[in-house]
Amino acid sequence: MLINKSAGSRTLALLTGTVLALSACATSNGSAGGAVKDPSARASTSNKTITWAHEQEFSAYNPNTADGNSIANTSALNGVLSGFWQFAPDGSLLPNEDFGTQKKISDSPLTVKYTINEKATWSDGDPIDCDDFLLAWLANSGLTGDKGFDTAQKAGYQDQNKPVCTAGGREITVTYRKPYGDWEGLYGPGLVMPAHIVEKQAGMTKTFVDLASTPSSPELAKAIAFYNDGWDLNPGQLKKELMPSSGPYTIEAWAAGQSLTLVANPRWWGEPPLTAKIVIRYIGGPQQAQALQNGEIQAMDPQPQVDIVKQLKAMGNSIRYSTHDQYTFEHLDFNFAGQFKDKALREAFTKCVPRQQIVDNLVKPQNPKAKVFQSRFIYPFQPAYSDFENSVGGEKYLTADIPGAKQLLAGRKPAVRIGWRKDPAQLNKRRADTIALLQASCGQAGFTVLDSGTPTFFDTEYPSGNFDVAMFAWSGSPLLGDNGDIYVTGGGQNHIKYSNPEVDKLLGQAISELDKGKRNEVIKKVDTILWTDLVTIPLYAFPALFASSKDVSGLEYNATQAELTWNVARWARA
Amino acid sequence: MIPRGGTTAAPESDRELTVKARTQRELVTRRFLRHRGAMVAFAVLFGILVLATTSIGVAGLAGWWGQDYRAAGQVVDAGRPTLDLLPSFVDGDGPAVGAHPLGQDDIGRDYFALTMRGTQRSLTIALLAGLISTVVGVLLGALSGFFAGRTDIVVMRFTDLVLSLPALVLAAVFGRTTGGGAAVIALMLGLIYWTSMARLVRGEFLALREKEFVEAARAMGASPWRIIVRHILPNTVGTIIVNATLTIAAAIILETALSYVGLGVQSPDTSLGKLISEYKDAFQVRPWLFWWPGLFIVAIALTVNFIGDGLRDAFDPKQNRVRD
Amino acid sequence: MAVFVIRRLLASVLTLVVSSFLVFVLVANSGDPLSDLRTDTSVGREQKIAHRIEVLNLDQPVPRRYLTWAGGVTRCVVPGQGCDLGRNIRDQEVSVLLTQAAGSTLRLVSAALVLAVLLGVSVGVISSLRQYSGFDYTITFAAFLFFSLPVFWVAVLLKQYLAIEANNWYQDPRVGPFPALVLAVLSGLTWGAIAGGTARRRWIVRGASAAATFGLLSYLSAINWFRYPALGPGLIIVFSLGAATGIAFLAEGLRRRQVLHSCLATAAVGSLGSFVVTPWLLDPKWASWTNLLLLLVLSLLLASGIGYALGGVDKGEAVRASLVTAVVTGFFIVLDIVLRTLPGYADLVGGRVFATIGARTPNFEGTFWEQQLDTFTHLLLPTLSILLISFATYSRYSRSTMLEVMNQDYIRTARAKGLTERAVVLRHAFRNALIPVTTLAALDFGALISGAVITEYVFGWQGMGNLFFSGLIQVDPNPVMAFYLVTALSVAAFNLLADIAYAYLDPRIRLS
Repeated sequence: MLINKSAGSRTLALLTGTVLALSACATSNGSAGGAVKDPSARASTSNKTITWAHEQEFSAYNPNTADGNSIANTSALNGVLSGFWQFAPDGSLLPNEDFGTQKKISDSPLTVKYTINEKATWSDGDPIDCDDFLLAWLANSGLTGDKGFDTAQKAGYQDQNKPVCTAGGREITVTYRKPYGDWEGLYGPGLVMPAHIVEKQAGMTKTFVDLASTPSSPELAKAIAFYNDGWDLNPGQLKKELMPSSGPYTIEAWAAGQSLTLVANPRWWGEPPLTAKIVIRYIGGPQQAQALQNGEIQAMDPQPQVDIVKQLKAMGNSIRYSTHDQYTFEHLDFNFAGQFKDKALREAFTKCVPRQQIVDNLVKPQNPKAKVFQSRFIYPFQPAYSDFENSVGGEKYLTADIPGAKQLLAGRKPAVRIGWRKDPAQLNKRRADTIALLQASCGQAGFTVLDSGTPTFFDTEYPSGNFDVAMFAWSGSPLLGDNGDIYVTGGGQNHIKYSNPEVDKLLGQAISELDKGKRNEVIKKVDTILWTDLVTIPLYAFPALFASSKDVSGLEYNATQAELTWNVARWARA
Repeated sequence: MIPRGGTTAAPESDRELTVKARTQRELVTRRFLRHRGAMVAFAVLFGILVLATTSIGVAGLAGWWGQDYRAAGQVVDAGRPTLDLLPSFVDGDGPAVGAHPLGQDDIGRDYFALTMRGTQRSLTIALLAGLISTVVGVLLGALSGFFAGRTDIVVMRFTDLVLSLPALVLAAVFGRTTGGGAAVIALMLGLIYWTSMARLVRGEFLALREKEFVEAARAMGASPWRIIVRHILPNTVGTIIVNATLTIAAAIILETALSYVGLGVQSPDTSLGKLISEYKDAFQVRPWLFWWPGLFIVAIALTVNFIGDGLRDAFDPKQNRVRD
Repeated sequence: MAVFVIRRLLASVLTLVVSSFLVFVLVANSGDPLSDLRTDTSVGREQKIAHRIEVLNLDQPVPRRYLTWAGGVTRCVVPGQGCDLGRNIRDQEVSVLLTQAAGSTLRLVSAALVLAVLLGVSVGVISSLRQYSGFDYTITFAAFLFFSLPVFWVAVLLKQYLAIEANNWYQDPRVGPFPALVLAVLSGLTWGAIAGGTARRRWIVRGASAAATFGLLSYLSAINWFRYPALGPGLIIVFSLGAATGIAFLAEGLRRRQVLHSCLATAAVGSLGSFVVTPWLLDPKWASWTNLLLLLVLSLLLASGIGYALGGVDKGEAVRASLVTAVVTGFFIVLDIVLRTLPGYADLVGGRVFATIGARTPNFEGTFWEQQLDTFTHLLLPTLSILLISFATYSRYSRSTMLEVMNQDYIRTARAKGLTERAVVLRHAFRNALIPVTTLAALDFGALISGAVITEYVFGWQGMGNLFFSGLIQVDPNPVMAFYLVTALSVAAFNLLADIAYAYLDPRIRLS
């Protein structure tokens, strides 16, 4: 509750590796759960406890279902359910060889060979093999229909033929019916669930190895029921025997409303975790700083606010903290169905938006490294950004150019309705302040800027086009996913009614392009056209923050939805 | 009021040989004017009221403070206050008001102007809420307690009904649908608070209606209305006043709580509660953003309470110094 | 009486039905329950939306959703059916959530309410008896001040000074001469104001209490008492006998020798019993709530025996006073044990005793007493922050009603009869002054639960407030209704109790 959760911020752009693959950074080598750089770190598990504060409480062991797919669950399960890869801090993919390897063996048809680590077992002793892989595929393939597995993601999996493997086998071959650029981003953390548990709980007589080829088999009905609901948990009521681990930690205890405790998995076959016990304590964001100061928690990553950062600074060297860019960006979108179909008007407005001042006043206090955001697709923490920052066109509109705007307006005095989700109970103060800055700056140029925020903005005003400029944030980059048709003519989310055949063509190219370097070039073209046409004005990447007590090491910020716990096994306490 | 120190000597003016007859109203006024705490509180509250209304103006009239509370600007010196009361030989800059005596907020709005606007809003809300709840509560409580029987049942069930509606649910619904104007919030607070007033007044009436003087009035053929207004009500004034002042003070605080959860006055308008809840985490690092509106809230709540205290003493002299 | 209760109950049920419908409709219409999913850019967005519509029955009209909810609730009344309060937005059973939330909130609120009534009423009564004294002004000012403080702000201050700073202090707990002097002066002023009487008498009290405070603090610092605190048998005896005298005085006055003697005897027996009981209770094998309860029953039996034996003509009064004495003595014994447990507990939590957040230390393992201490240190700050504000209300109300009552004719009559001041105040005035306070307390209980919303959030208690508020924000009616059900039921119940208490305290009011 009371999390100032702005629209779009931290929404769960679940594992669509899509955008991440855009990153120019080639996936690095080494095992992810234990990306060991320092050989001396190969110490055994210390008998310490690290307590991490989080705002939302754990609720389900299966992070694939619509219910279970939340930050609260994925952040707790990072150390518990492994996959073939995980997100690196810059958004690239880090292979997890502790779990297994994936290798493309053919381009046409696209064929990928997965090999599960031969030592891999669930913490209840059952080996991780073909059966588990087939459950993961079947559940996400969409083949069981509307009443079937209730998984939140299907892209990619639905293009795969039934994976080929034998009962108990650990080598799986997957062929695609059509090319899928993000093949590396499938079967990630939390995707592979324990099939033996499902089979037992559903009282099945056959395994998924037998059933995967007959998705309509009635035998599956009970399995589906269990998969969808059997792992949903009431607060404090763990079902440990149903929740084996495939990672360095297992879930040990849950005090409802208070904390969730992870302990080192005794059956873990990979690099041992550095700390025996991780406690996730449920504490509201503004309360975390004092709890850190009082030694009740050792790590935290609340939504940053100006004064929390200053408070941390004032605590001196008893703690460490750092600030970052989040994987979410704020922007203004023109409504092409209204008065802003006039490009001169768009340009006049763009000129009077004080982007630098907005960043300086509203973002920098929380993240001193923050800069005006220039792209719609690549984030500042991604290596490719340097190629975009000063060349796609946004660099011309850094500071407000009031005379320029006045000249373009030529005496006109247009009223501009800024639409945004303004829910009093979850007011985004930064947006309210942005409006005030826009009113001050564009007011000088001759615009009358009206605050038309409503709680129902995304429900009614935005889809029906009842706004001049929309202000909100996209989480991740929605460019290429199923819903990413924001800039495509007639696209489902193109509520600003923008249309440019060139952009449509280029975006189509980008989706099927398998080569990352080439894909970035296409994206850059799109970004440049969007600046030339002045479709949207990116403002800033959301700031992020984490802090820990001095004796804790190994924390590393991760801009993706993987959250701070992405490398929980590397956390250590002196 | 009898002076402190244990003696019961009458004030000088009363030592005249002739005793001047005074009406009840004169007595009350006299006693109130002599209540030191209440008079100081009254002066302070009046001062706050004058400051808040004349500085930034009210109802379209311009004030003497040139800056608008809505005007964003350049943040100077990290928004620190320019007010410096200490003269140069103590710590530097000498007594000075400066451009932004109470500092600036995140986007460079003048914090003095914001605080004054907040004071206007908080005062309006609190007084309106107090008035509404008192009128409704006293009326229903009196009817219920005096007539008892069926009237009582109906009124009390209605009270229970209102009492059982959680204030925050009403706030959420009104806040989200009406956009949180000050009048709406005041009305809502008033409609939440009258229930306790009604129950208290009813309790008093139930006890007082059995009294001899009420019997006497009834025997003399006084109408129920007259009995309520002239005979019973004056005897419950203490309770009403105490409860009303507590309600006004409580309304200020509840408005703060509503602001804390975002359901109070909405931006660009502001209230004291909104200001302190916005900057509650600033108290260690930008203390002025928290302390100034906080100071005004505490000052208003305190003075209202003291005034209530003085009024009660004035209405009900029997409460003064019951023994020595 | 029975007719009255039944009629009230029926009326309450009717009220509940109407208002629950209102609340449900209001919450369901207060916003868009799908708003967080609408800007979701993930590929599973449509599935998530469809799923939520199914869980919350969003495709049905609101009245029908209310009926579904009400149908589930009525099953609570039918035995053997099991409650069904619906599911929340995350598809969890609300009845399970409620059980957990109610437990933690009731702990928080009841402690605060009881303390607020006790402290508020006693301080209010004292300040009414010392009207316009320094004490009265100070309490008035303090009450108004507490009343004027927003709870979330108090919480931040309490955390800073009563937890973080207090813990820093506890690393080497000593009271230096200067702080001791300040505390001594404060204590002198307080006691001097409470004492009343002539100026000379007040100066003596001021001096004595200031000197005693200063001496005590310095002595305790010197022997490092704050690090290893305990009362010890000596202090238990002294405190219990003192309390016994006080209780006897308040109950019947010191002139009733039999009452005084039975109180003193009870205190003596109890505190001597601590020699046996303390080691026994400190033994982890024995310490438990059942055994504590057993001991309490035993000591109450013993106390009534003593009261009966020594009571003489005042048997009833003696037994009552002895019972209270026994409870107070027991309190001192338990306090002693808790203080002795403190150093061990401090070691377990890394020397940081006072908590800023949560209901307990995660995965805390310790003896029975360490567990209780852990609960206590977590309850301390939230209870205090609720207490401060409620205390202000109670002290103001009881002061004002007490003043009013003290001017009534029957008080004058009682005085004229030659009753002692103690008897006039406690027997005649106090009882009647309690009437408005009862109403207030009854109303306050429901209000406190609602008011705890913010306190709970600030102190990280996942209680009813959290249930209510997160439901409200997410436009998720079922958790809000669960909260509503509990508060509305308790308000109805306490109102009924208040009416009955009215009749008991004021015989002129008849329930009919």
